[in-house]
Amino acid sequence: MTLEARTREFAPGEDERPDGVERREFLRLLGAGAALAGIAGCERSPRTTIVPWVTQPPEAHPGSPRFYASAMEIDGYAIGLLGESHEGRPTKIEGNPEHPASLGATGLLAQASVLGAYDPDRVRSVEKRGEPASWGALRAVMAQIPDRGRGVHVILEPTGSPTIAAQISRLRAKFPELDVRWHAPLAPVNAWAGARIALGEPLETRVDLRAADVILALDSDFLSSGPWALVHQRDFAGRRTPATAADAMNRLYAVEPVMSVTGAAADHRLRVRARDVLAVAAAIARELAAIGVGISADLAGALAPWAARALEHEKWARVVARDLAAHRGASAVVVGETQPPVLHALAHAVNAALGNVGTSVTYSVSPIVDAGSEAFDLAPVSRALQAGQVKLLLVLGGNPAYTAPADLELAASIGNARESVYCGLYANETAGACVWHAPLAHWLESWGDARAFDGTASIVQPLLAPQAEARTKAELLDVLLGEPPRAPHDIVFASWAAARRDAATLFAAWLEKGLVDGTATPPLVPPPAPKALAIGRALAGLPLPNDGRSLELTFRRDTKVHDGAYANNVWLQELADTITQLTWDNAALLSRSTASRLGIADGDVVELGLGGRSLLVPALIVPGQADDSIAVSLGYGRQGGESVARGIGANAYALRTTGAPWFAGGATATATGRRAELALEQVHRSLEGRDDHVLLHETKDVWARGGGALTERKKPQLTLYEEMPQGPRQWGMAVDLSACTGCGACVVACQAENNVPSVGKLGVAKSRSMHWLRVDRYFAGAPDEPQVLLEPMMCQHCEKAPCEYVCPTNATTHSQDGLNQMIYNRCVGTRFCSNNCPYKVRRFNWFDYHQDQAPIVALVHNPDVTVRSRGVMEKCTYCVQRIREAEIREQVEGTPIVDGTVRSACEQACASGAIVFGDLRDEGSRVARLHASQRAFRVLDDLGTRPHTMYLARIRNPSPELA
Amino acid sequence: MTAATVDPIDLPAPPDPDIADEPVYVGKQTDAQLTDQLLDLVLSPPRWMPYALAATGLGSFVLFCAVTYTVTTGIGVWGNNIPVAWAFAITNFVWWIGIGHAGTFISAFLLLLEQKWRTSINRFAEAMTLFAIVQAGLFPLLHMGRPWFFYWLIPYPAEMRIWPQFRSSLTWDVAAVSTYLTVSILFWYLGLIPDVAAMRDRAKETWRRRVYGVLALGWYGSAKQWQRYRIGYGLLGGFATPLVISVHSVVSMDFAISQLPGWHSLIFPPYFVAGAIFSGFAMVLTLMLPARKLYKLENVITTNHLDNMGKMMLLTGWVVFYAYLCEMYCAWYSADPFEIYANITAKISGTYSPVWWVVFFCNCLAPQSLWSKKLRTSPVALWMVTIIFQIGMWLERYMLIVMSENRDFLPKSWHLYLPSAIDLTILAGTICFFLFLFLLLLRFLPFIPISELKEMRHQMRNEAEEAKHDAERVRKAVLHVHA
Repeated sequence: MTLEARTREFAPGEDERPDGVERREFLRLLGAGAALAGIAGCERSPRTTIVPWVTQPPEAHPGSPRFYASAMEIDGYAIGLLGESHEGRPTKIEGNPEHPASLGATGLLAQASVLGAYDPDRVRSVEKRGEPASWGALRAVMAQIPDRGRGVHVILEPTGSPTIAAQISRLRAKFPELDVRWHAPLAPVNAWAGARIALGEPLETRVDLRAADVILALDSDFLSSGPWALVHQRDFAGRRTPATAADAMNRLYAVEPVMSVTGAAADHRLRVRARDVLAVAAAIARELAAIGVGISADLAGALAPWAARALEHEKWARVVARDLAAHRGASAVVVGETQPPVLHALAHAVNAALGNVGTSVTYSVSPIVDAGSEAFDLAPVSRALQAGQVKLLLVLGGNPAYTAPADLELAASIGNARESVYCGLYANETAGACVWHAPLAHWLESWGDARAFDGTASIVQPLLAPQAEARTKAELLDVLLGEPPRAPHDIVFASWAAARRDAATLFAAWLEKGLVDGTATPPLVPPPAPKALAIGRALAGLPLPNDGRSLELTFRRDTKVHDGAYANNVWLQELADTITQLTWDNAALLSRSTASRLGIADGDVVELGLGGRSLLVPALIVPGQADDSIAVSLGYGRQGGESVARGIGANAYALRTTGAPWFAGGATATATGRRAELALEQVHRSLEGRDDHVLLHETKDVWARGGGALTERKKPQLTLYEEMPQGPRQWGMAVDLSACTGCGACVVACQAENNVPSVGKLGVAKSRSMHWLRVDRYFAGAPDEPQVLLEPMMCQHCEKAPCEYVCPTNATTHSQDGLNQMIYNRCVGTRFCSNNCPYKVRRFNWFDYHQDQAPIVALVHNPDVTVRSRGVMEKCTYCVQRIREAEIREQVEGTPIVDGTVRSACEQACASGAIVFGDLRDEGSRVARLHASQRAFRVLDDLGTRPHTMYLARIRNPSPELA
Repeated sequence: MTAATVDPIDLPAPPDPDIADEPVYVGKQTDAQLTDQLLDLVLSPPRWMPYALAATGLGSFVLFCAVTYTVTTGIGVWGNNIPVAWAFAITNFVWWIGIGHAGTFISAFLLLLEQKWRTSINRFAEAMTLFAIVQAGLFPLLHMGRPWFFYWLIPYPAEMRIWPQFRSSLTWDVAAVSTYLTVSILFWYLGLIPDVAAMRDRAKETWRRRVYGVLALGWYGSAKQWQRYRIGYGLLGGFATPLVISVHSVVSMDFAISQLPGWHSLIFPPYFVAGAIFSGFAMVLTLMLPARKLYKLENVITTNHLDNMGKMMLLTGWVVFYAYLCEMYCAWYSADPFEIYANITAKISGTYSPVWWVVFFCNCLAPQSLWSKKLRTSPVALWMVTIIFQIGMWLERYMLIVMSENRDFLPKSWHLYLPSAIDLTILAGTICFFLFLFLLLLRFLPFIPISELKEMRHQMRNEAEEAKHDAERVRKAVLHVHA
């Protein structure tokens, strides 16, 4: 099915608008249209009753939102969420505080996923080769399964869903030769394989950062990727935010090739190529063995040749080893998915030797179906396809034609299948390769279930009726199983009723709470002991890389579009990558010295070559990138029918093979002489020595000694006026720079809450992005070994606001409760306020941005927030709609506003708790206490703007030995 | 005005030692001949006039299209961004309003100071002022996000009882510019009345007589009318004089009241006024020199005028130069890192430093050529220097606005600004529109004030006779003493 066919407006053969309509015909259509309009109007609210609205509860009022608990899967791991619904229309996603993977916070993808539900590019009806077809016809095709299922292949996305697990095992029982495969390009297969080597089983490793004083991250971006990211952020921040210089802090060492969010948070970061990480780890393990930490002699012997390759980092390794050894039982070695299984295995051995297992590190059975099994390998499907043995290929979700290793050439060989069915949201690459396309229901439209990283099960309930003919995966599996058609709700309920006798009574309670109590898998006790011999053997079996300075290519999970599944989401495309500040693109990241060695400049289009495959991608020089290592993030260069994603960036999957899924040496990079414009949200990198005015940061030792930026800064500006002269409440905010990881969830949350428009790549390149909240990034120190400083920046709600006195029309004023207000309908757009805002947080509607959206996208708008027209200024309001709602509730229902009643969208999304909002007049409030903190400072305090937002200085805790 | 039958006046007139060595009028015409010469410019226009009008008219139409596109689509069609929220539009505004200063300065200021050399050029300069304000006035309207609500900046009794916010200098701007425009129109028009009456009397076609007749407001040149005219003209001159100072001072406060480094400066009002007069004189010369040549007006616009205006530009150019130095010194003395960056580092070595260096050449070095009297009195050389000044003054405003905005407090906000095609079109379009209006003036109105010129001639003759008489008396007295 081609894009052309899909977007054709008129029936085949009719190239032009039909020549006019007869009067009778017109009236007939008009009548039919009017009659159908009513039906279509009903379509938006769920057809099935969803709990808790069995009958409309008396407390539900039109105009006030309802929250429903549900869950969303990312690479098969669930995160428990709450969907905010306005009259049957979800507008915002929040974290479910009861859910272990969320704890009330949300990540980027969850925040942005609500926009995906209204994506106009989603396929609405069953299609055969791009032409509309019927469900009946598709059903008939899928029902023709030969006995024993020979020649039938099913590829699914990894999942923990108990319902799908049950369906798959029934399928396997019914058709023993039917082939079920799981595929997600970012599935943690290396971690499972590592656990299998070390522990004998593909167990999940859980790290409790609360119990870790010293953390060693080996190419691990544990703060932003993986199902535990939100929990890690919270626990990490809990150990990074000292109230006084005497308070304890954890210490993070990071070894990585590409500057990640975790590397940016690290106290010490070692910049090495991806394939040298193992060597550094081996060197540290050997140092540990030398100090007498119980690393077995077999293992230590196998480590020697590897450690020898990291001689230049010997001192670093020794210091880290000593620090780890000094914190036995209270440290953690964390390995990233990008590293080979053997390093994961080595980490298990080191953690065990350090006594961390059982305290900061625990193991549990994976919630993912078939975790660590052969079923995660797509090669057999590819072989069967190429041999022409496939009778029916069913792809349920994902986009394997795009994400599968390039050497499998899946996209090209799917056509060999006699019948191929793709069930997915978009007419993407896989849909293009398959004959049939069945529209998949978005998770906000689905009944289903899912399991979190710790096994906790949640029921997925819809907040929205599925678009047109969209179906859930369970419904399609039902077809394969030959079941009579059942409502999606019934499939899930039946599966739970079969598994648990109390389902009938507790189902509603599970829905309400968002999780099924008691389903978490406890850590294994006693924890399995790592098999040093096996690890040593695996290590010895691994050939030493012997390619000197040859160029390395690494593939990275994209922090925004993940594996590409979210590439059609405008909010995520528009979001700046924390480190590179790149939007609407991916790029070949390389260090300055590598770039100059290869004769490549920023923005040059580079031809990357690896194993005979090549890719054109623009270069971007990034401080902190390892020399001789080029990184490209996955998920771009889309070719399907997703209008936002199509044509953006370069497809790194084209170079990614089964043998080298994450990095490979022997790559080439040559400048093509062409240039590409990259849209960077922030162009300037340095703080220009303005640290003390803009972003206070200090090391813990200097602070403790009573020196440095924190203690020597100037006294607060004197004023003749009362500090806060007005009403009884004074709203304020505190942002803890020690806690902030720069993950960007707050930015997307703000965008979703406040109907913030997107401006596209050109808009960003012209510095016209509309984000009310942004995360500023600065590099300090040496360009190659930079310290990354991050600072969320939004309207500071200055008490003496420079924007207010220059507005000629009174369109921006100060409220009684300390808000700097923006009155859109009084604004004529002189932009003087922006010129006079030292923080440059005001945003101008250069065009009528909302006008360009497809009408369906307007459904995502928060009805409590004005949609701004062109020509007016806008900016952060401290989520004034939430404040006013709480005040109204206080007046009407008598619910008092206490600390925490009003939470801004950014605060609510933040897993680290870096953003705190509240009443400054209330002396006991968290925000008031933070404002009184020793670390508190105001940005550009000298200007006397008296912001209501204060920042808490970033404190690092470097090892004195490496200082 | 009727043609007087006065004897031809021989005027390589008396040396006027306090102003100039050269005469401000050369020739031996009768009043009637002079009137004929000057009215002929309008009544029988040169052959190139229709082409010039068509070309500039087309340019004005392009401006109209660009403006329509901007208003219907949004300011986004310009190159502006955050941090550079003001750019071309405000640069053009300040530039045009600055150009509009010389007219009033010449007409009113020099009138009060009784400078004779103002006479031949004042109408020219006033008209230029008006047309420049018309161009300038476009921009504050256009640059608004929602220009259709421009009237919210005007204090009027709205039903919502919301007034403009008077602490904002933009509301002062509205008052200052509209006052200036009103007074300029009145002043210009009042000065025009006797000459329009002369046009009425000399025009051949009926429609012309009617139009000029209406414009002349019934002027017939009685002594009573002349007396009232004089009083009115003097009063308006008195009105307009402080406006020369106030308008650009207020415009400068659009920047000075902010706290943006590079804008936040007390020196702005005098600095802007001096710059405005500098650029205004340059523009008068830019327009006048070709007109003088094309219309053969060397007898009424003499080298004396050129010399005087050259000196004015040298003076105001030095004030501007001083202001540049002063800004840098103050920034250095403040020890404020943001001020030092915006006023010194960014100018000398920042992203836009080439702009600063060009400005430095155009406004600080190039004016020094005016020390040479030879250059001051050479029309071609002088014209070329004025073009350099125009460019320099436009870039100076660009530098002030864009350079200060593009790198302010937080390095995160730093971003380049590049004008879009529409920005450039609008700038070029206003230049066309300005020239178009100017050509209309040349085509339809007497652009050399005839009555004033004749009056000045008589005055000068009287003065010459008096001087002769005085000299005679002195000679006699001396002789008497010697005797």
